[in-house]
Amino acid sequence: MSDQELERVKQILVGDLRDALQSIEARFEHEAFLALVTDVVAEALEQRTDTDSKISDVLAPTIDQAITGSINQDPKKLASSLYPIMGPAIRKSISETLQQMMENFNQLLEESVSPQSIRWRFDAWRTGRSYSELVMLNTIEFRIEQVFLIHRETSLLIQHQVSDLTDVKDPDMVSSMFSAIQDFIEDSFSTNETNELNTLRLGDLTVVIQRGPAAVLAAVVRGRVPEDLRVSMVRLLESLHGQKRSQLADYSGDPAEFIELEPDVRQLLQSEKKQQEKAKKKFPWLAVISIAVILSAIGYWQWLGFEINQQQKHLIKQLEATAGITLLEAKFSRDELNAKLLVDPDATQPDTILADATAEFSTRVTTTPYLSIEDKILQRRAMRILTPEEDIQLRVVDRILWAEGTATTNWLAQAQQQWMRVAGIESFDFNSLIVVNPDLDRINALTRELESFVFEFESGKAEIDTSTTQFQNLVTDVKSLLTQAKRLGYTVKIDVVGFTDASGSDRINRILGLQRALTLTTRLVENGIPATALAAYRSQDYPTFAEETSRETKLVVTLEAEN
Amino acid sequence: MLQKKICMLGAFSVGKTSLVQRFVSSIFDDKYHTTIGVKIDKKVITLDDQEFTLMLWDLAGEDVFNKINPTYLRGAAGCILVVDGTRPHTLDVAYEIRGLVAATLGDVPIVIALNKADLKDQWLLDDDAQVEMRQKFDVIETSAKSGNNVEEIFERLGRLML
Repeated sequence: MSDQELERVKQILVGDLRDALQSIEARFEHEAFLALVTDVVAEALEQRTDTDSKISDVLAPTIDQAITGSINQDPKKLASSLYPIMGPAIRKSISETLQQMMENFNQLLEESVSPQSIRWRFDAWRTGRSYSELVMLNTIEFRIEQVFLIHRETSLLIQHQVSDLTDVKDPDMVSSMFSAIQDFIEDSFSTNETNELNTLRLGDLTVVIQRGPAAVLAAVVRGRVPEDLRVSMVRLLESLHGQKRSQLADYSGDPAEFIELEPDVRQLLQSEKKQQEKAKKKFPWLAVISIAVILSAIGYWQWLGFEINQQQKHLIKQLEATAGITLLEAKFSRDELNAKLLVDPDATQPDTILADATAEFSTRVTTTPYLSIEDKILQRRAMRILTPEEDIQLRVVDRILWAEGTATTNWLAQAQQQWMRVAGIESFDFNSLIVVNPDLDRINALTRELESFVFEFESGKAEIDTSTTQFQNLVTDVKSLLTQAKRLGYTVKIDVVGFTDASGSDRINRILGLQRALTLTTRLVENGIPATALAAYRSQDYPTFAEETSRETKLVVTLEAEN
Repeated sequence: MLQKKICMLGAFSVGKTSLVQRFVSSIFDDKYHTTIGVKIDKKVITLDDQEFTLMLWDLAGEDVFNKINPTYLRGAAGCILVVDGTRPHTLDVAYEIRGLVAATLGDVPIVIALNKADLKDQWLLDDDAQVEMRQKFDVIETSAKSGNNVEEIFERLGRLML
């Protein structure tokens, strides 16, 4: 049966189910294959990975795609998966960056703004070196860590001194190797036999080598090499060669022969250390003093400002407290006091008050005149206008003017007219004032003097010697009385009464008495006294003196006010 | 403590460094041999209750291209010449070096380490040469590999230097 026939038989037998059967068969085959592959896929991948990198090459695009897809779909998922790795990594990176930044910043701060850095910049400019070079020279501390004293011929170590905290490798071997290296370098590179290796440098470490004829000193310096180190080394070598010539020339290999050199070699370390410590511990006097000076200057300035302010306030208070001054406005500033005032002319003037101010600030005062009705000012104004006499006290209380003491009628009369000119005074009370009239007193005094005047005559006679002082005084007094009385509005009447003694006849005595009175009257008229003011009486006719007897005349003065 | 500088000398690849390594404390790398031609090691030995510090200058092996730098010999109190029993030529080199030592250092103690005693069946030194050598020098057969006589050779030199 051919294939075609077989197909046809199948077609007849199975008919339409054939396709379905085929599809079932295919599915079974697929699942069986899948199960087969599932069992081996991991191992297969592992095996292939060992052989070559083909699998990762093949998978890479797929993984890329998968990751991209995952991120596009939900970025949070991937982020939370990566979080445990990314978090610490990022934190570490940030903290490192920050730390570095802080260090840089610190350094920058220290080096860019300090007075020292300014000095270094100046030095750099002055010496033509770069700033960074100078900073390095100045900032890097040095420490002489080790000193080797090496016997030159054998390269054996005679002395080794080391500063504290220095990590040291076997110094014997270092010493020998050191010599070997020197020999090597000199043999390899030196063109001249006198050339010697005198410095080795590695980073901030320098080996300073100083050679003597029989011994070599090598100092290991960390940081800047101090200028005087080589000098110290040369000195030590010189003294060593002096002291130990024979031991050096024929060295047995016993370092004990040089044991007493230990302090000297150690000194090389110590002196430099000491110097370093000294420099470190040096108290910053300059800085402290500068700061103190600056602070005290600031303090003084502040204090001065405060003082000025206090002075200004004090002045303003003084002005405000002054009677007759009213403060309108005050402005304070450090160098000027500005004030606007109302000032009564009778007040203490602001200039007088401000004259006390110091020269620390200037004062500018604008004044406007006004009239104050403060009692104190009213009192001054009253004093100015009324010009009270010496014994008068003027007081103002509640705008009432009080006058006390003793006043003349003249002043009182004037005051009574003038007090209303004292602006602000409401009334004038002078009830307690004692008022006197000095002119009247003087007239009264003259009157009493004249009345005490007694002119004596010789017995039986009625003549008067007008040349006597007594008479002249009488004339003067009478004239004065007349003049003053007239000025005050009085009329003066002087009665001249003549007396006789008891001897003689009564008739003669009567005539004689009148004669005596008439003689005096006549003489007075002759000396310019108006006759109208005089009248002559004999005592017998004058009631007051009717019974008196004596050889004299008396005067009786009467004043009458003129109408 | 007494210190002495001694030099390890010999032809290329005779086992100087191996001998020293058997014997010493070292802080320097072997590469110094090739860079500067010498490597320094140190050994403290005790002879008759007295301690010695030996500074061992292990000089690079000499061959036709690489001569010993006489500067490195300076100040040495004694030398160990190493000869490889399997290579007779190394004895000739040792003689040459002895001449250099005598010229540089004068009369200093020298001990010959006849090395590679563990390979004695492969030795190619003829008897006459050995006799002659033993007449002229202190010779000790050593093996850096087994450590045989290594201590002794330094001790021998130490005694000669005393």
